Amino acid sequence: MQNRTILHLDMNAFFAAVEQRTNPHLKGKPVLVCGNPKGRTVIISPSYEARAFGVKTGMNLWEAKKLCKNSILVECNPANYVEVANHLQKLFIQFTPLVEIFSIDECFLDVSGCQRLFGSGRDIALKIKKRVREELDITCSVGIGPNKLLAKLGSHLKKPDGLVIIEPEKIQQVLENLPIQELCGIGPRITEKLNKLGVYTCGQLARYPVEILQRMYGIVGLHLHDIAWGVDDSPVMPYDYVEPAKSVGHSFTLPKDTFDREVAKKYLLQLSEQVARRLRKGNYKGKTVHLIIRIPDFTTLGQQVTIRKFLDEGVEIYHTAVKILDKFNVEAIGVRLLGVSVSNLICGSSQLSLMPEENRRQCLIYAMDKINDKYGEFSVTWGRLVSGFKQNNIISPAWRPHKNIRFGYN
Amino acid sequence: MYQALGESIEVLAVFQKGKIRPLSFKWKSRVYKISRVTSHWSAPVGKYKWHHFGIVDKDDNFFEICYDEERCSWNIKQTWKEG
Ligand SMILES: [Mg+2]
Repeated sequence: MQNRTILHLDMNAFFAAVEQRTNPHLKGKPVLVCGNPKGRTVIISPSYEARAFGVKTGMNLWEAKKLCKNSILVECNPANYVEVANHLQKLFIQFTPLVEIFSIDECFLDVSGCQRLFGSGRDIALKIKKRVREELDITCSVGIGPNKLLAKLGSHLKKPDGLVIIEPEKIQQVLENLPIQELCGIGPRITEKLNKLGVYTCGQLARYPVEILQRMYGIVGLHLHDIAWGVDDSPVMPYDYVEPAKSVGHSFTLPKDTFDREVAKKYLLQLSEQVARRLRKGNYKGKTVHLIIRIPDFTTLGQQVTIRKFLDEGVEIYHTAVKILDKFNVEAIGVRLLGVSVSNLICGSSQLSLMPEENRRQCLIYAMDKINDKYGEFSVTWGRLVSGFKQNNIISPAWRPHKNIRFGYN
Repeated sequence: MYQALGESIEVLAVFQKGKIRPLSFKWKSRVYKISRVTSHWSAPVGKYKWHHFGIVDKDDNFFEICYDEERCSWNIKQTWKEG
């Protein structure tokens, strides 16, 4: 692959920073963005002022409050974060169409082809940082490298408001003593296994015999060897590229633990409906249903079932999920969180059934979808869910900008 | 601390080129001049949208106000009280 210049941009304490820009009274103060502060929730995004006290993402509210008594709790407001993220994406694609959204506050830019227009990678990074600060009043860390792996490492090395360039000739030097878990793609499990082999740093991993890695991990072993050398050929995908889904799922933490099977089933029906809606929106059907149950002590149990037919209807997904639920004794173990997902997907198959009953059902669901598209989720739904719960306060990890910002490029 | 409100208010605003720019509002018979819109986001409510604005007045008070497309009406959602 030719010499590339890749930028990785990571917004600093994104949700908290958006809250601080919205309300200037929060500036310079320890802000904790959380779910519903009255319910059971964790810290989703602590501001840098709160991080200085040791507060981390994912901490319990009481834990965070103990570390930082003067912290200010703010309930998360996804619509506001999405608005800012859309603004950011509009800004980035003014530099290059090769903007890969990695998450709501992170993305990759391939600026290899636009340096004559906008200057070097460093110039572009500085221009973007300036505009992000001026237009949105937030900061970001930028990493620049010859590939995505090293660009991401760069932005990770200096926070907040950093700018780190990893020059191709410095790669070995940067990686030599870097702990392996700092590399994107090496999770806790692989880290633990490699540590047992005496491999702690990227330098050690780079020198570890690749044949052994391959024997242990197959194709992943080759990948581990590559990234330890700083090699990563994966392209930056254009901002309007839609990856085919591998699975579609939703989960929900119950307002309080339940030991009642009927209560759990009701939540299951709503989750199944949500999953089905998303399947149909993407024109997918799937035949493997996976149920996750987290019990009050946080142990997570799960099982999956593959059936013969491809599903995209909430009630069918629900019946399959209930069959899995039946294998667990809810009255004894209790339920804290439920998750339903569907995998083994096919795309774009909507076939009329030979049975008129089935066709009528499909028409009914089509009509329900249209109404819910127009009037909001769960405007029409099954009677069982009428007194159901709503969950609007989520940004799915698969969040992508709205289609309506796709402009300027063909 | 945020103080939740939720009262209907009168707002003077410019609607132009698909954008809404609130200028001042009257709440409890007092007029507040908006010096800066800090943030704007919208959320669908049924078929219509609510347009939220984070705003700061001349005396540095923070408010969140909201325009309800369906009813063509304005609402004050919350304010910030120190301490
Ligand atoms: Mg971030």
